[in-house]
Amino acid sequence: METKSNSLSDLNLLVIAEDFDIVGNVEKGFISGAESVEVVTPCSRRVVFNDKDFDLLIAVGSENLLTFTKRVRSTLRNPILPLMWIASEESHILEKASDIYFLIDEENPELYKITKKILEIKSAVSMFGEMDINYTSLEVEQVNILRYMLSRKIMVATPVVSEHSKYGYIFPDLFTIGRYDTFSLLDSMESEKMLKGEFVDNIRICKNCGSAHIGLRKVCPNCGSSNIRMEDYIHHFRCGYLGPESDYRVAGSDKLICPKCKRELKHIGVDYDRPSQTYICNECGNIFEDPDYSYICFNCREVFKEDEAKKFIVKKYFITKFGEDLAFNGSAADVLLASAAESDPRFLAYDVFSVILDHEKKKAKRYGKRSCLLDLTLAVNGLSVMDIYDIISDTVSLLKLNLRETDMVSMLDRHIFVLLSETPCDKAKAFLKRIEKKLKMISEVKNSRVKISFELIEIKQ
Amino acid sequence: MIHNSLIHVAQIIVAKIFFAWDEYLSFFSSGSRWHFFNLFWFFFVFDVPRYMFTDIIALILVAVQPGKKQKMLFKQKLLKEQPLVSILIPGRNEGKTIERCVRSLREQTYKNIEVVVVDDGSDDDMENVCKRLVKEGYIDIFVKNKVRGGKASAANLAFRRSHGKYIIHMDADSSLDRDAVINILSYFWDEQCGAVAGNVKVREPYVNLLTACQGIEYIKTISVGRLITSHLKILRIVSGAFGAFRREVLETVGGWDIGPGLDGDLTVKIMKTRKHVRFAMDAVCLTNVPKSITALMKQRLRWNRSLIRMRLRKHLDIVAPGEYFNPFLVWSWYDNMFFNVVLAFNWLIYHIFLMFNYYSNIGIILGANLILYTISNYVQLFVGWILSERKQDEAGLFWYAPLMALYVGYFIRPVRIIAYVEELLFRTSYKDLWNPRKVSDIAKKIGM
Ligand SMILES: [Zn+2]
Ligand SMILES: [Zn+2]
Ligand SMILES: [Zn+2]
Repeated sequence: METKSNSLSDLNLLVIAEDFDIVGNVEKGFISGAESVEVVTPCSRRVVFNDKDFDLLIAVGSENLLTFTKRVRSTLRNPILPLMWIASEESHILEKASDIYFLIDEENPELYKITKKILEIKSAVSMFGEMDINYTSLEVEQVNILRYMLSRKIMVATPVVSEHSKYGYIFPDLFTIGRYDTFSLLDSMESEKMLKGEFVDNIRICKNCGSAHIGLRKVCPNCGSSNIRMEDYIHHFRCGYLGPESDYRVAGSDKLICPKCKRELKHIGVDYDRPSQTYICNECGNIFEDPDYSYICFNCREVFKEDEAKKFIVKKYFITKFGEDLAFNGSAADVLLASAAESDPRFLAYDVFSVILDHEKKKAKRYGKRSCLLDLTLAVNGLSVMDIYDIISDTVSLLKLNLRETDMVSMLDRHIFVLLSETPCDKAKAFLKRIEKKLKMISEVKNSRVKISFELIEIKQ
Repeated sequence: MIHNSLIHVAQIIVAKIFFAWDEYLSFFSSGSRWHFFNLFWFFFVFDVPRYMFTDIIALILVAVQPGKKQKMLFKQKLLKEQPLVSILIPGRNEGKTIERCVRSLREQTYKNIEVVVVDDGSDDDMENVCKRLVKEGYIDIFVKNKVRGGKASAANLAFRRSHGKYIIHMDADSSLDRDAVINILSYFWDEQCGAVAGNVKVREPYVNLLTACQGIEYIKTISVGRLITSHLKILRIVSGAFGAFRREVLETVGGWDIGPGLDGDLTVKIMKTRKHVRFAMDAVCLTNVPKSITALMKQRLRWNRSLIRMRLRKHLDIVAPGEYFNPFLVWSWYDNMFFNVVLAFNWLIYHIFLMFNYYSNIGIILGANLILYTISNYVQLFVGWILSERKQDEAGLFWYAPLMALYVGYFIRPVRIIAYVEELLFRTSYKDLWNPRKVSDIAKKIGM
């Protein structure tokens, strides 16, 4: 990508703004030199932009635009592109959520700083391999989050409290990335071991809608009303009556009159005392010692008992080694291959392997040497990246133990290739027999949703 | 040699016994019938009619069972309609006993029960125990008074917080037979019945001689005695250990007034409203009784002092014709005063009489008295036992019946006399720590 060091020219820009007027406020020259500029507002009819690659996303406005930005970004072909935020008001969240941040009425930052940042991200992104074509949209999202974090050097995604979020917490760094709810996405990534979570908070959320914006109230155990009051009990020594203070109250008078003996209570400690207190419901008149606690949800209005609220653990997330490898390699097989290759010279990257395979074919042709190629294919249905990783990793360990020094292994997508060098077909079959049973065991572990099929190809002539 | 001397000793012993018996008989046969009566008038005038005759009446009553059919019908009605019954348990420092008490309530065959416990300023673990029992569903309402207010105020608070159509009051150290609640309620078939007294028995009568005597005493006076007074409509006390009330009756009389003796006091107040009080033989409550002489003495002194305080001071108006005049109540008053106060003093007079007139033979006369009383006690215990629903448990008490004459004559009655004299002369009950000081002070000041 050709980019001149001091202008935004040659860049394809996508501008997200609250309205078109605010775009006008941004200095014309600033974006005018661009290769192309598209502007989208929350009112725009078109909000999906998957027809071309943009180089830079520019958002103009306040925090109100965050959710919309996330939505637009998730439609892009390259969602982890750089984001520049021209803020209409100061915001720490916007500063964290974007790659380049400045205030609209501030002097523009020098262009070279902007372009430098764009280049930095671009070069980081260029390090990432092709994404596995078999991935589901969730897996694509997961890898995108990892890539976003790595390309921005976000080593840990930390949640901060925010009144704008459903859970009361947001991940400002990751606010605009991803199509799904960030919390459940990160949670799924933790269970796939791409991320490692660490406890931050344990909060209660609405049992109905999951919102953290809930209020705790003391309520009457009988009718559930929060319209309750506290009252002293009064004990009239003389007649032994003991009841709440309101029993002794007469309308339009300050006097305390005993309901049992009709005498006036004049002096505390002499006529009466107040041995304890109680709650009384103003709605139904119920008297009770221990009020119930109930929540009201300010989001969906649901009212529910204290112990019915759902628990929600808020965590911060670190990228694991596996997560990092996955981000760079784009598929679980590549991650394993890369790590196996580190300790075992028989494991080769596919491009190297294909050169050797060619060479083997030539040898067969020229010298009549016979080699065999074993193609193990994993048929997986609805298994997570982590499960596939486990199966491949088991298969790899099995091969490591059973292969000879001269054999070679490589992987591509869901295939594991084994080159059994200078091995005639019948010997290859014998080898296959040895490992067949174990392969079956591996494929049976994940509820038989895996099938490892194999094909033996004789390389000759 | 040895053999011979042993026979000799035996002969001497037999001869001595024979001689003593001979002397005994000659003493009694020497005089006229009048002379004989003179010696044992106390027994024949007071105890024979009081206990022996009433026992016969009791047997007849149980055989005839007046109101049996109405009671049955009412019981069915209760089971069908299931009106809420509140069980009030005011208590202080009952952390050890309250659990057994409320667990016996869970076992009741009558199910629509509301258990209200008031902790009257305990300093043991009662509050914690009760809070746990609330969580476990054994107690429905629990109130802790941080400041002690006395038993009456705790009972009143429990009543104020209750919702039941019928109210049962019980002590925390008591527990109920499984059918006690439905049985005690069934007596309310009688519209005029304002309160029902439960059948209170001793939980562990075989701990020592003292508890055995109390076991017999409870069977005699509470089981049999109250059965008759109840039918005569002169039952004078609905025991705090286990009694049932109509809600509106308790409301009318304003619940419990300050004690001691608040159970008897409440009964009198209810009878003043012209409602009467019944005894439920078949509603059994087991209670703890004092196990040592001093504890028993303390308890009985308090009971007897309160009799003077309530009958002679607070409710003297019942004998005077007036607003509250109720012939049954008057009868009950006389019955109570006579058999407790008058008899106790008479017992003393009888002994003085013997001392002056038969000093030389006093041992023989008192011994004969003991025999007469023991016979009487066996008859009474037998009747009580015949009527009992736990015959096997109580059969062992027959072994202890010979002690009863001593127990009543030389423990219960002397304690009564002491209590009456003390209370009449010094108003000792107002100093009793059973009530908090502030309450006693007020009571004394207003002369209640
Ligand atoms: Zn909600
Ligand atoms: Zn209420
Ligand atoms: Zn009063």
